[in-house]
Amino acid sequence: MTRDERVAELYRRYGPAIYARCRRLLGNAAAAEDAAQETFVRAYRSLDRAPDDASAKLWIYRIATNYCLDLLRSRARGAPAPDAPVPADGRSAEEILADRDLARRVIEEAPSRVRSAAFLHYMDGLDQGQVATVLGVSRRTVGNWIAEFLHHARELVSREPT
Amino acid sequence: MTAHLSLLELDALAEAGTPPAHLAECPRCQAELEALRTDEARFRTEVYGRTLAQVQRRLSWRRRLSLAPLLLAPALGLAAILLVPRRTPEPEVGVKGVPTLRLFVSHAGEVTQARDGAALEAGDELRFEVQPGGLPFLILGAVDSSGQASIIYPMDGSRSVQINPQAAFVPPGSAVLDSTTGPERVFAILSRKPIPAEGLLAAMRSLGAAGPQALRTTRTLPGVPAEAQLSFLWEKTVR
Repeated sequence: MTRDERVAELYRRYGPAIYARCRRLLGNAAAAEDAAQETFVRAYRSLDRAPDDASAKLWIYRIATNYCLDLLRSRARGAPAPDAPVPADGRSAEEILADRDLARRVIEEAPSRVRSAAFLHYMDGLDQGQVATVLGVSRRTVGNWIAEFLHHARELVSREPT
Repeated sequence: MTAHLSLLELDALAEAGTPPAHLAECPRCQAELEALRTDEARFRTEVYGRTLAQVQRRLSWRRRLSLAPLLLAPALGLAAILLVPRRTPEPEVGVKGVPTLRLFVSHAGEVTQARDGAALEAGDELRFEVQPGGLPFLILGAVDSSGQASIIYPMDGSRSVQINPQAAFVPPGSAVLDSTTGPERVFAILSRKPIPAEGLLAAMRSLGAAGPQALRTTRTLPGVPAEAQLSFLWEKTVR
């Protein structure tokens, strides 16, 4: 099998999951196409060596999540500064995060090092052990990142409207 | 009602499997599963055929990049970007050459080695090559004129990681420039021990806050505990 044939086979097998993941993260079909290509290129070696589909999926989640959230952050740089507070309406940060639309907004404004963990935990419903497996870090690290994210979220929802 | 289905559960259901009871009574999870199946079907029927050649070309390009340093070896004396690092005189590990940082740019299908201060465009793809010179830990970060600082490598961005100190290292993947214009500087931090990213990020943010001119002229970051700091500047433009 030539290299191009191997690429085609892996892209056919894992492309759907990568594209769906990027589509969910970016919320835009055209952007998801580009992001899926980039994710596949970045993940290719790992996918080629993955012993099974479950291992390959972990790479897809990790690389697509990190890449797409960075992309969203990068695009937001050209937009007006996100000074508008999240409408808390008396709710706590934890209650805000139960609302997926608001949770997405809080996550996109979070520090880069905690964004992926927060998205996987609050948007994708993974427990902290699963997040640790996807991101390739210890569960303790994930716990620290989630705590840091919650601290950020509490600050954001308590910000007074300007 | 039980908890919503997780990403892993939805993925498994998209392929096959027996739906849990929760799915029958949860419109949100039903909608997410349907969206997942729709997106995967769209990729198979529309996206795959349209984008496969592009993916194959890009992977071919990555392979060429990995060969580029060898092809350029005879010209290294003139072409390499060699920035004199701060080094301690007696390294604890063997040294192979001087630490260097080089940047390769893919623009409109052409791959070239960039010079320090090069003008690059949004959409250009960047690859870095680090010659560690015997230092075993590396972290790469970048800061632009908006003050935005980020860790480029390693991907989890938490601390420097171990590399082969005796061989040139090319971080996996490529960085694609966004549309932010102005100077951007990348730092390759080499050390004998792993260093956390926080200090590097803080130092880069301080530099970014000092303005574009500071970004253009500052090659080393104060307070970063590294044996070698390598730096590279480019100017992002819009044409």
